[in-house]
Amino acid sequence: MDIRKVIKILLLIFVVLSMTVLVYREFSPKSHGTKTVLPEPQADTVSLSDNPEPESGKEILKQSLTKSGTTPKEQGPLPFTEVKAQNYKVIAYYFHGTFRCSTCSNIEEYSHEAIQKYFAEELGNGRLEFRHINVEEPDNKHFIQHYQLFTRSLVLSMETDGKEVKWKNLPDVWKLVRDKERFFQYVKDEVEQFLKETG
Amino acid sequence: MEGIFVVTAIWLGILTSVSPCPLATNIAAVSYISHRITQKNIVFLSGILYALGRSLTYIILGVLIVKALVDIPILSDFLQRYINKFLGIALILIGMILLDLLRISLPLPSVSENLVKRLIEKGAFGSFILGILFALAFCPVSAALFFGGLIPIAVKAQSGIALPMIYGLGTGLPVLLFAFLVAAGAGYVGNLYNRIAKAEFYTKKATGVIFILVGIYYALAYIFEIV
Repeated sequence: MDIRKVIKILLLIFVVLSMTVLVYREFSPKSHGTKTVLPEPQADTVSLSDNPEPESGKEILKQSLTKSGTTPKEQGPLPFTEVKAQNYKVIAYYFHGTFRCSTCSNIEEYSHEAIQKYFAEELGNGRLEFRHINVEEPDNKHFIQHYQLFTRSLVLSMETDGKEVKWKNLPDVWKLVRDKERFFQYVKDEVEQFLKETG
Repeated sequence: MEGIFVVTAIWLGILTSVSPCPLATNIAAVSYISHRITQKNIVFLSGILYALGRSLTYIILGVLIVKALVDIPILSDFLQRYINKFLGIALILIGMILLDLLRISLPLPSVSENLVKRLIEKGAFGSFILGILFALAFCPVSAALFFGGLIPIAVKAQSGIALPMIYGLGTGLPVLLFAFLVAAGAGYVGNLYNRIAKAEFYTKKATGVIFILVGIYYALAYIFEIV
């Protein structure tokens, strides 16, 4: 058989397959979730940096719900009681898409490392939390509007009793990503500022 | 003050074009622009048209945002979510046309098959279309530089056209430069060996292959999500 024909057919099959997957992914109902975001501190969100799998807030939420209800294995505080007991908490969100680029991975890694390095205590007692959110998951789309996202971003959010009172996008992560030291300092300063206000 | 805006716009454009994530499309663009390798003038013209095509995309986006106040997150999310997916399929099909694996038969009687084929093969005008298309394919880095870097300046200067145009030319500059160097170098070697006619036959095929490979990469990354 003519090799050109084989190549042509294979490529066309690939194109048709791509279109099928594209349409399927677009219209298949992945998950039906509520659009509200509950603030739960959970230990597993804080140790995801070497896990490149996209995490949706919903999945995290589910994990934490089951875990907190059944196993006391986690080091972190148990969600609901703790949140009630303390009024203020700060959440550092890293928002990403399904496609991971190398610069974005660096931003995610540095943000996470910086927060772990300087704020271990706050992470431990639940005053601070780090979350990875894939905004391309249907349940997380609302974050795009809420935080006016247009690319991978690090956002700090302050909550009191589960209600957000203030948030800030940290746009300079893109400028400083090539300078690890300044990046760390930037994240440290901004998070400190937020934590200070929580008293 | 305006001088600073202009320089910043060009600089942001160049940063966009040399950042790693549009690398695949840049390779395709260089190969497409320089595939008429023995005719430096056409390569140069193609490069300029490619940059202008990119500019047109950014101008339209700039006007939409600065003048029509279209919501940035919605626009950026739409572009990043969908254009990259379609780009993979489009590149494979264009590559197949360049390799003569596919014939286009349009249902419109007024647009002949030859016209489309000539458009894609002849380079110059095709480069313009390619520029428009590639500029639409935003990735996280380019989105950060355009929406986060250029747009705030454009809004401040109330410049929905001029600054995005300059930025677009900046994003095309390195590709244009590289294509011209390739063409100049290859033209020189081609003259030495007197193989001009053959050279263009191979560069067209190579461009087709590169388009298909880049297209497959895009499909794997954005549709199948496995790269």
